Amino acid sequence: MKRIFWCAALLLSMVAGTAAADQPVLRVDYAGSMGAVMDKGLGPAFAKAHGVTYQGHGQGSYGLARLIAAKQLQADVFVVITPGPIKIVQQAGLLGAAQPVASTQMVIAYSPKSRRAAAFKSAAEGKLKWYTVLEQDGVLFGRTDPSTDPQGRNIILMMQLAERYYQQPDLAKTILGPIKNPKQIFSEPSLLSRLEAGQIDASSGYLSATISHHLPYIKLPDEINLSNPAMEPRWYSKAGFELTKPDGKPEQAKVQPLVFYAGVLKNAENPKAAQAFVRFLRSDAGQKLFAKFGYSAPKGDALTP
Amino acid sequence: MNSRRAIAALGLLATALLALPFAGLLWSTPWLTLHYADGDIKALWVSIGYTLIALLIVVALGTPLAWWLARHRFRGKWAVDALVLLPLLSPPLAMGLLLAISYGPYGWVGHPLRAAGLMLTNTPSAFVLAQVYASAPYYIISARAAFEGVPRELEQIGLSLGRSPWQVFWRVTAPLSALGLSAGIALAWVRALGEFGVVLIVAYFPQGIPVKLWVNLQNVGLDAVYPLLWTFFAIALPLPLVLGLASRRQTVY
Repeated sequence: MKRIFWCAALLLSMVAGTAAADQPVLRVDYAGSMGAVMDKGLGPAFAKAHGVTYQGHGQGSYGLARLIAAKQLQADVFVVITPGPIKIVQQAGLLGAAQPVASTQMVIAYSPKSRRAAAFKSAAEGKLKWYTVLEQDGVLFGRTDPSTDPQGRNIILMMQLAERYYQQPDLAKTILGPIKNPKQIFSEPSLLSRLEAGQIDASSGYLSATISHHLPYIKLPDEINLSNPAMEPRWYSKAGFELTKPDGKPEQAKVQPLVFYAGVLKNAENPKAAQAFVRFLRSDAGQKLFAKFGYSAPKGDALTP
Repeated sequence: MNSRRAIAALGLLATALLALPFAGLLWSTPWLTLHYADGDIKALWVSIGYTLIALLIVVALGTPLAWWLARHRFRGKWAVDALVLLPLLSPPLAMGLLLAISYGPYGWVGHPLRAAGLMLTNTPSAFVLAQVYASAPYYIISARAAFEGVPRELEQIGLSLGRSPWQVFWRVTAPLSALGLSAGIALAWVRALGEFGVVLIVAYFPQGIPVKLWVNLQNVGLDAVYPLLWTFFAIALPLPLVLGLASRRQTVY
């Protein structure tokens, strides 16, 4: 009995010993779609240069923002897509200014294993209108939940803009069906893996995540790809739809340009490293890594509370 | 006496450790403002209804297999053992992906089934399918142990008295293994009801309580988790408790 006790005590002290590593820890909470660039690119590069232990944690931007605002999650740096989640944390008084660090755009990703892969490829080369392929009978299109995921909203807004841009009044209805269409909506990990396994033909996607996953895609003009903050007031604002919030109240979904913002949290345990990390994201070295993973340059101004 | 007290103390310590997060839940639940989010009640019925169906399927398919494994020796039995264990030890996310690959609309099983009108993606059938895979091994392993615990002599006496094997199963084996079987059913129920990883991949719709908890968290925040979580405990706990009590009463003569 006594011996077991000592063994347990020894084990516990060993575990405690490894947890208290001598390097300071930098905790970064980031938008779920940034997994590859954060954990394989920026995080390790920064850790190596600054002698810190990098800990990344990815999740849906809004979920992350609400957990941080409720102080259920503790981190040093917060990196998300679109201004919406930043505002939630700023309103909770936990974030100062957030800097634009990268941007991306909406694309249509398709499965190389799809039976329509050849048609999608022609569309990607501009020989076919992309929406005519998606409108074909039996094409399985996938997207994420508009009530939890900004990308799920963005694909609907994008299709609404495409209706106007190509003058195809029924485009969104034909391709997407109802806003909450159970045949098309998947959780984010399910969506990407189904696309790679060829269990759906095409899906909504961000250019950055699609390139990181080595999936083929169809690029779209700025008028509908939601990347250009300059187009927001006059053109993007024409798109919008109503969602029911969980408390039963209506909510308007509008376009938020696809810019990534990073900020240092006010309750950061390692504010020095956090500030250095945000500077690193905006530096030449950081931007090179962003570009390598398919991200575009930051657009627009900083967001202040 | 001393060692008895030490064991009791250790038992108490373990109980306190297990109870700790739930004490925290009791403490942090905003009792005064507690209310359901849109769609929570629907999630409740989805969970209860389809989990019961999944449980029926698990018992119907699992009992003969458990019986076969408990009572027969054959070559390559280890392979069957391993196959029963595989869904159990696969990380839930991986299990979900595997189901999506095979039962997905273009999968080698899913494609012909879809042609026959059975879509196993984001449908009630897909939901039940995910639950069956997540919970069946728990039931099969418990049921097998229960059958193995029934002395063979008793069954043989029954047979020698002219009862058919079917009658012997119902009159001798089933009552004697009831404790283990009900433990297996309770375990499968809890597992199927709480399953998140497999269901998240295979059936985002219809949303049962575990996926709805996740959606609420993403959508509203932590406050929207509490009411649904309490409801979950209220519907998940009675069956295992009742089964446990009933079978324990049976064994204490």
